[in-house]
Amino acid sequence: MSAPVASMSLDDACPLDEVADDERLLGQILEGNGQAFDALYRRHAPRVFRLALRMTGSAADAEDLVQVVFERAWRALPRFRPGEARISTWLYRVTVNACLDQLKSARRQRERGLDADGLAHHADTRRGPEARLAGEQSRDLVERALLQLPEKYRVVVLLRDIEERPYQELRAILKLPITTLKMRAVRGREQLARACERLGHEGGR
Amino acid sequence: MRRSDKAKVHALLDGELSAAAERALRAQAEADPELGAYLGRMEATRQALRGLQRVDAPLPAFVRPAPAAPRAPWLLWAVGAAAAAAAVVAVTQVGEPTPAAAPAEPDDGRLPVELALNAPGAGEVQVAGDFNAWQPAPLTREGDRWATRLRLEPGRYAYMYVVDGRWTPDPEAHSFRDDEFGRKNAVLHL
Repeated sequence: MSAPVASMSLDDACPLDEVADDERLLGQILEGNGQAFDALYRRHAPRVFRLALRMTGSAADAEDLVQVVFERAWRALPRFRPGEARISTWLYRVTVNACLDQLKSARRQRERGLDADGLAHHADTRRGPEARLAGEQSRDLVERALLQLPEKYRVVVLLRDIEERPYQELRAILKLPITTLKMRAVRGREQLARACERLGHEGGR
Repeated sequence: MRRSDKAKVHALLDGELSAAAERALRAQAEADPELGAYLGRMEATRQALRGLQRVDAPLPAFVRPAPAAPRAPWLLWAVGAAAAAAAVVAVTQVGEPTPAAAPAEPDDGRLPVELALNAPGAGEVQVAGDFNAWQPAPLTREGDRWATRLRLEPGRYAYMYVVDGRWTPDPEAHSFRDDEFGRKNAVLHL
């Protein structure tokens, strides 16, 4: 919290040895080593899953999205140009795009009345109130509050405050200027605080 | 609350404040209840978000996709001088893929296309795209330009040239599509 630096570098959030190891794995994948892809999956899939889960609020959707993202990676990695982008950055970018597509498609379905279980759909990461401990209640509440944020704020808050990616990397993932990203982080955090307070108040009644 | 104070709170959350600046902000927050409340709310929100870093659900297994369906074979026409002259008679511009005026084509619904790039200094030029599962295939040098001819079903195809190993978009394509590597693929419309 009191880091005596003006800004974080990319390497703070993504250690250089991991980047180098990703590039080593990429080389092995290009040589046809299937186990190297498995290793890449084990390293990055948890982050992809977490981002997709927090973006969509649905564990089932997040599972599907992990598959979508890594299928894309499976097909695209032979064209990946090491040194121009980091694999983690590229995966986050593909994940964000896939999540936004998924959310748009779910919204259309709801608008057409095809998804009568729309609300239940977004409830499957939650457990019954009896089973929840106090900490779990708080996690639950934040999860629900996140889903109330406009997507453009939600994605910035998730990447910055949960994934802890530096703004330079957010710029590469979202293709937005850092000033815009910082503004969205401020608005996202403020709206999230208000949503948590509102939901906490409703829950307490 | 001043905008600059709010900015400092978020700079603190982002780890961008020095230890001295953080001490000054906290002292100011103690003296200013509005700033103090804002700082408290934002720090609590950040703390709550950190709690979501833990994910309880098990990681799904990756199901490898089936190998890509074989695409239409890469139909390179004979690029002898006479054949080339006959086939490319309608091509007036180097760069933009051009439906070629082809003599006596089989009527299978596919369209003859020439892909050509002006690259006089290149030692090797390849093209990869949706039409060949992104496996680079060679173009043939024709003076200063490099070209290949193929037959494709009507549709849209993203593609890139590979010039001496460097992936390069077609500078004269009419449209482009984000390739998710931060670059643009050229798109061929047929």
